[in-house]
Amino acid sequence: MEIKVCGPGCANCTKTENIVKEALETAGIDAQVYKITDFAEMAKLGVLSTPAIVINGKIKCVGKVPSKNEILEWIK
Amino acid sequence: MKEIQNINCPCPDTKNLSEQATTKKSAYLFIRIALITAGVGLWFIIYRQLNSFAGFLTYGVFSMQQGSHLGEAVHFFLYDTPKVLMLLSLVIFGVGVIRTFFTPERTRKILAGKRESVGNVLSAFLGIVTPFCSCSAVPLFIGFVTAGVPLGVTLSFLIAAPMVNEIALVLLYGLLGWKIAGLYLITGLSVAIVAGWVIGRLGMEEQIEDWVREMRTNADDVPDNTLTWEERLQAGKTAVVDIVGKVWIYVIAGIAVGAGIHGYVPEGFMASIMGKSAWWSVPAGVVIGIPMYSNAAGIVPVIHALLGKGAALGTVLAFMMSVIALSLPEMVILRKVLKPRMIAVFVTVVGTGILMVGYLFNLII
Repeated sequence: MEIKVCGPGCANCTKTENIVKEALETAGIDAQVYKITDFAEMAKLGVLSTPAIVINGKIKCVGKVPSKNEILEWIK
Repeated sequence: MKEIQNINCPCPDTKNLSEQATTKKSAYLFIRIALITAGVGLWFIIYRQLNSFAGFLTYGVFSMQQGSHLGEAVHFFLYDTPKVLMLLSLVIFGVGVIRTFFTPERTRKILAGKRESVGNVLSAFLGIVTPFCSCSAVPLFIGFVTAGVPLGVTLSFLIAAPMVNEIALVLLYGLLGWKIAGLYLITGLSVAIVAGWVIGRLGMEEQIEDWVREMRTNADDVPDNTLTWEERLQAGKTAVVDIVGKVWIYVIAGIAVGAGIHGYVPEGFMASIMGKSAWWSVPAGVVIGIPMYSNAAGIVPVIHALLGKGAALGTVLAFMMSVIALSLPEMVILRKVLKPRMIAVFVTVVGTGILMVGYLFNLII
């Protein structure tokens, strides 16, 4: 599984990345987490507002810090 | 990239949202609505008592002399701090709930293919209610432009979003009254609409960085999740905790400085420097305001105090708009997608708009 966390590096984006890692640990899933800070790449992924999470090329959430439970749902 | 300090960042921190929202019973919602109604009622009762309570504390408990400098300053501080914080909490809650109805994706869908003039007006209004934080200015810009939103319309959005700021609006209302708050709202929107329209007229599409223009995005697969009312209310609450939790210290610091000016600086002191007769003070205010990247929360209480000492409204308003709407960090971010000439035009057009607002107010008030 490939998880992309999009965000230029503001506080909420960092928070999102940490929650994703936490969720992966809880679920015991080994996935590749990429932090996308490049705006061009974000736009190519179709992300308009950050923080956003893209799992296997599909946008799961934009413009908010998701909860751990939500992420656990997505990576199941 | 360096962490962007954005106090007004409305990126909703919904971390504790769905964890609590798992019990989706309607009874639960009714209890919550009842609680909110009771809360708002209590809010009004307390709010109306603030002035007499501050007077009681200052002149009764601290037994300060009525009319003395220290007494004036302390009373001002004790009254304004809770008043502003209470107003802020109420409005941010409301705005937080309203913002759950708008997303940048939805806004883009509305704006795509709109004609320019109508689009500029719509765009400026949507700029106020769409949750947006300056960290996502660039992806948003790219997303808008590549989806066929005209450049000028996109810029109207990007000007209005920081310019018309709910925190500034609340503080202006709380400290200076609804007329000035209203003027700020109307002129802020006007600058965003007109500046965006003017830039659109200039036909500067070639001033967008090439890689952006070559890009086509497809964001239609973004989940358009509908929220329950409970989640919306929760989002409002989270916004209050998040934003008030961040800005309270600035509000208090701002009011403390304001209280000092209020009690100690002689009447009319600012008239010579920032008064109406000093025509140069408006452009000076705008220019000084550009590199300053403060937030409305700290600056409005100071402005309030300056006004009380003879500074002209237009000058002060122009300064404030320049501080919150034209910021160097945002220019640096936008530079990634806009060529330098475009940035220069952007600053010039918006700056001129703010300048006109400043002179207009000094002229009519």
